[in-house]
Amino acid sequence: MSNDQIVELLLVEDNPHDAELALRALNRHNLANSIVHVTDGAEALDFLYARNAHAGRNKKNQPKVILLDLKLPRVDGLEVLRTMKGDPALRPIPVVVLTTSREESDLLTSYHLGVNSYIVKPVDFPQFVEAIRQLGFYWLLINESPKP
Amino acid sequence: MNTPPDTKPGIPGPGKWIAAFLAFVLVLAGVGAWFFATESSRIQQDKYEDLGAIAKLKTKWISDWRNRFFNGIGRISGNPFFAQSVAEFARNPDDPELRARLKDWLGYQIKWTGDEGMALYAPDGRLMLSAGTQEECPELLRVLGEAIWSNGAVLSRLYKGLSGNVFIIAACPVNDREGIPVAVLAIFGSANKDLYPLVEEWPSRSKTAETLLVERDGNSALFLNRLHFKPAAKMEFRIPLTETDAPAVQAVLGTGGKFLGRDYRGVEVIGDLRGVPGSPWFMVTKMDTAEAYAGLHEMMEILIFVSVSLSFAVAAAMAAIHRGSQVRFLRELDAERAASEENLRRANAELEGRVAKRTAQVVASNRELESFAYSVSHDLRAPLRAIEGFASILEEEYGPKFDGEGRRLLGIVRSSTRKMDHLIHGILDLSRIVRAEIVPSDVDMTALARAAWEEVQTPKEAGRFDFRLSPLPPTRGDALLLRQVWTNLLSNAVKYTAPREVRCIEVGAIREKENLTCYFVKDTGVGFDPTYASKLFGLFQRLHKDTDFEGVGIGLANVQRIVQRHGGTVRAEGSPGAGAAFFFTLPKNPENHEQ
Repeated sequence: MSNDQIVELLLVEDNPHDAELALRALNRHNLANSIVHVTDGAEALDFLYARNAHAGRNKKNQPKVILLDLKLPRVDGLEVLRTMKGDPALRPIPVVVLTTSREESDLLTSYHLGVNSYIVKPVDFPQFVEAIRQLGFYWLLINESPKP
Repeated sequence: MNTPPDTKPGIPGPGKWIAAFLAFVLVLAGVGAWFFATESSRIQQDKYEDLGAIAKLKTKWISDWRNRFFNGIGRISGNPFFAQSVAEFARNPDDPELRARLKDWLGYQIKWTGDEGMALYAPDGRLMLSAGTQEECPELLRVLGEAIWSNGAVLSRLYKGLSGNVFIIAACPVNDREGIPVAVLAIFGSANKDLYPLVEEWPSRSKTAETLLVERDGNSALFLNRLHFKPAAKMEFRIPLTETDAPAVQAVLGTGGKFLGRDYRGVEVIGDLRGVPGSPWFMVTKMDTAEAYAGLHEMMEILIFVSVSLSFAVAAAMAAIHRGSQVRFLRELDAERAASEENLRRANAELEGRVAKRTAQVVASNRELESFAYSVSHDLRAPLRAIEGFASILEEEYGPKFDGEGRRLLGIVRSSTRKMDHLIHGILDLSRIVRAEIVPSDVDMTALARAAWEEVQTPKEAGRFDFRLSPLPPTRGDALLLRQVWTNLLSNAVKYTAPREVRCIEVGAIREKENLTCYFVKDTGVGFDPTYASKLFGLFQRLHKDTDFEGVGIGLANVQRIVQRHGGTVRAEGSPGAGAAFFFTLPKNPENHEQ
């Protein structure tokens, strides 16, 4: 991974099966050429801040969208969201919470922290694929993000 | 704490005390009056007795004084030597030796008795010889005549001489051997010197006590002695007998003993009236009532002072006791109230403690439930999604490599995972309803039922149902939860009515009781066996086969849960093939949703 690599999508997902399903769904529709997958919140922040394992990465190349699971080891998804939306440099990056939790509290907290979208992963795979397709299509192709 | 009012004496009112005080004052006044009456009559008696004793003593003195004249003159005139000398002198009035001897002898007598003077008068009243003072006056002639006429000793009335001195004359004839009066001996006694001191002397100190010597003089009472309270001289003041109120008048009229009246000044007096034995004189011994009863007045004043002081003392004492009892009562009340408050406080604290404990328990169990729900939704569904996801990929990407049976088995895996997902959804829904906080508001049930109906009928089903919605009475409750009730009931109705030829769904309400409205959803669906009606509302309970009707048996359980939390009940009626009716009641003015 070169330092100047363009990253279109950051997938933060600890469950490898969920991650694989998500990646398959994205690939099936050729939505993401460059996807980075991290498995916990701490690593996600390291990536975004280009530090620790991700030191040297060009911070100018931030992802177009972040798919964020909530239940994560070490630093959980809501904490990642809070840090991002509290930092003016990271705040413009769209974050889509992609979670199995339909808990009202998670939903409310996420939106209060400034999440851009909240999607509950359907168990039904075709529906899941459809959901991924739509969100990828929207955030990667339709939505315009400010240039860093 | 409720104390019956009659078991606890109230604050003793001041009325009782005032009554007690008045009673005390009345008794005191009664006792005082009785005491005063007794004492006053005793004092009066004492005073009368005092006056009487003084009067008795004085009249005796006066009587003695008069008798001294009688006896003295009788003794002198009866003396044979004297009588012989006088007779001799009467025969030889010009014998100077005889005259001198007689005069010396009389002078000696005067010196001895202390009288004013002595004189010898001839039976015709001519002065023969005198020693000391003698004054001529009409009374003298009268007395001399009376003495000769009665041939015995006679006392004159008091008379005032030209000098202003008052005299009394004792006269007695002096007889010769044959008993023929040859002269009359007169002794001039001085009232000023002997009588008046007797009359005027008073044995004790008194300002108003006075002894009056009176005699009847024609139609009036004549005061013989000098008056204490009148400037008039002796023997010049008299009161007409018509003034019977005056003690002097009463005395000369013969009244004796105790007397109460007005004296010559018009002042009320008490007195003793009595005659002087052997004389025409009467004695009035009197004293002003004011002085006589001064002690009584003083006593009365003391009595009144003591009574009033006592009354004040008693009033003050009663007030103090009353206040004390009030204070004690209030203190008791205070103590009681403090005890009650303490009890209440303790009970409250206990209750609060219990509530806090229960709240903590509820919060804890809610938290457990929440974390359970969270893990159900998150942790259980993740592997489920993996199963379904990978089975799906397997089917899609390797499907051609499976034979028919393989694909059927793969299909069972997928449908089972989907069903399990539904069950998990149901559990989550139910736990959400259980945990949900009811936010009450006024709910338009008609609008809510209509909205739910719009939600449950899919576009392809639109128009296939005969939906009848009667106006529903509004209620008060959580709009979101109540909407879920309608949604569940209507989706059920749609589900079980869809296969029927007649597809009628009716929504209405009946007023069951005063405060209870019963809403219902009736359909012409497949109905159910009423034997199992009670099972309808149980979680995961189903009366139909999965192959006939999809579902996990959550909807009606949710309905029951929501209605119960609103203080209502649910029930179902139906029979196989004859449709079903679901009823739920809601209290009109729910006080407490929670059960």
